[in-house]
Amino acid sequence: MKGLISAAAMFAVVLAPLSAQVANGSTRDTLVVAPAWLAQHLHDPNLVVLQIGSKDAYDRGHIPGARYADWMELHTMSDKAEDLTLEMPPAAAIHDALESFGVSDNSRVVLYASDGQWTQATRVLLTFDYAGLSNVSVLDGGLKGWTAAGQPLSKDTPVPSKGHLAPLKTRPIVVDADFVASHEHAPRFAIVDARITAFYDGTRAGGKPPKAGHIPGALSAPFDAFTTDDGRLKPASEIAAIFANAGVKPGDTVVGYCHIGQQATAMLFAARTLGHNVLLYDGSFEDWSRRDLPVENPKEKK
Amino acid sequence: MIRALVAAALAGCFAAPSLSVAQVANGSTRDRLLVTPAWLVEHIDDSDLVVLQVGRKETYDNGHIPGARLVNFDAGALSAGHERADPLTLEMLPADALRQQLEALGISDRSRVVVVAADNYWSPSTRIVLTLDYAGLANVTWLDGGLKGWTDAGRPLSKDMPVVKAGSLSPLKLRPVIVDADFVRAHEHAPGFAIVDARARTFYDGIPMTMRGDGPPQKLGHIPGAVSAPFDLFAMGMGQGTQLKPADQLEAMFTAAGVKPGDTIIGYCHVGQQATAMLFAARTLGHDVLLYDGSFQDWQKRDLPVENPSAKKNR
Repeated sequence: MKGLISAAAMFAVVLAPLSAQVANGSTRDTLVVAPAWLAQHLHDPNLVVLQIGSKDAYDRGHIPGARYADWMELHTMSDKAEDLTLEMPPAAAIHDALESFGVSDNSRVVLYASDGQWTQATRVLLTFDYAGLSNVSVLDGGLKGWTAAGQPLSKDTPVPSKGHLAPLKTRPIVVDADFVASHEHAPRFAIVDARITAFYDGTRAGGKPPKAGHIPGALSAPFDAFTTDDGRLKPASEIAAIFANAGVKPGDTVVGYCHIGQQATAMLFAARTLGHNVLLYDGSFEDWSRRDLPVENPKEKK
Repeated sequence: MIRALVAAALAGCFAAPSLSVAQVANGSTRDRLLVTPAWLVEHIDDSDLVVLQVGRKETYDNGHIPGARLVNFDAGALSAGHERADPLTLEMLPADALRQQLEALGISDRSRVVVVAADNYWSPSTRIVLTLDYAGLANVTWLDGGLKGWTDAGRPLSKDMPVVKAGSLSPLKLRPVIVDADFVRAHEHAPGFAIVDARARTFYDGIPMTMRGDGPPQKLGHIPGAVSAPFDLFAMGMGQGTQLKPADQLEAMFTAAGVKPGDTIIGYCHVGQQATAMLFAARTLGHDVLLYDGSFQDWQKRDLPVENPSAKKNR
């Protein structure tokens, strides 16, 4: 019972890692491919091209050889009051869905969005990252960028073939309210609200039940600030400026949230292209307000 | 004599003999721990005054209380652990390193320190107050209303970087305000002690977390015997200009939680930051306070027993 309370005892305490470290920051080159690159590699044997968006849009014409990836199969969706709207399903379900899309362990995957569904594409990309599959990129500009580059579309549906994936080794990139509450003001972490400014600053109330304001200590970087009007990722210098203005420092791990965990993935994708490691608070403000956790409301300060 | 023996015997029932050593006398009065903007306006030019601003560097660069020094909490100032593989671990610095950093901020043995929260850095600012208490400094206060209190009092901010003359401190006599998991276990239900969970109620109640795919199972609930007093209830204005609530309200909240007058409060939260806000409020009522710095993350890692109110309900 020596020195129960002595200072020395304190230093002997080695704490558990409070957050598993993920190194999922990357470079723009690995995460984004141009239409010209895709056109050149379209016939690579290990390439899997997946179109995200509505099935109708896919049927109207897609990149030759691309398969339709039903975004819904990679989520638990619920409209029941007691459930969160959109959550990551168990690993086994993701495994099976990805195999059904034709994804194997050695696949090189390129995702693209139709119908302007950029945030669906970035959510699917994050799901791949969560699933431990890293050889995945997004087509810059999506379907529109492809046709704008003068590339052809096809209405032929490729012969379905199932992929073969080893059991997934998921990466700890999805965090919960406990983690977020533990990281308010934590050095080298930035909690970033990806909702539009009106929700961040308390002009409009989000969540179930609605609550005006944002998670304490969170910074604001709206998800739609990172793409151009034609759906392409803005230049790196502009993205870096947006994060810098928001207060995110180089090297920070970015913890993203939004309403339900989709818009945030677009912001997190932009952060990854700058090399930031990123984490998603999947429950997002919906979960935060439901737990009646403290919020900061800039409007109230006035 | 008899009373002393009885007390010793009682203490022996619950924990090691060192229980009685656990007493720190850091309870105080509100007047001694809190200063108002008006007070600071009057004393800003005192030669022994050191104003420490806790907040974002950008905010500090854009204008601070004249002469104030930045405690760059984001960069890990006055705390340890960020350099480890685990960047969140919020721990106290070893005495020598702490003394060096305090001297670099211009703090000497005779200094009167005022801690000022900027931005929304309320719990970081109370963490710094507790750190200075741990360092053994006697004359440490907190500015009620923070940086906004100063500007609301009509006082100007300055962009001038103060020329800081290094202070001179005697070797620190650390005060035993930090306790570990063993200490907390030994004091579950101990008379004269209250273990207080400063996390938001949802964590205390053990409401299950969002699905985390197949992540490691989490412990839900709280330390056995702990009572709940969420940190955010003790202040007005969770963002800019945080003020401590009036004493009668603070007292009512501790009473409602089950804390008795005179109890030594052992505070914990997620990692040892939010708890310092609750402990600061408790100190202004005269409670002696101790921080379980490892907090629930450490408790969980050690696989120690928890009480889960929500599991009880569902049984």
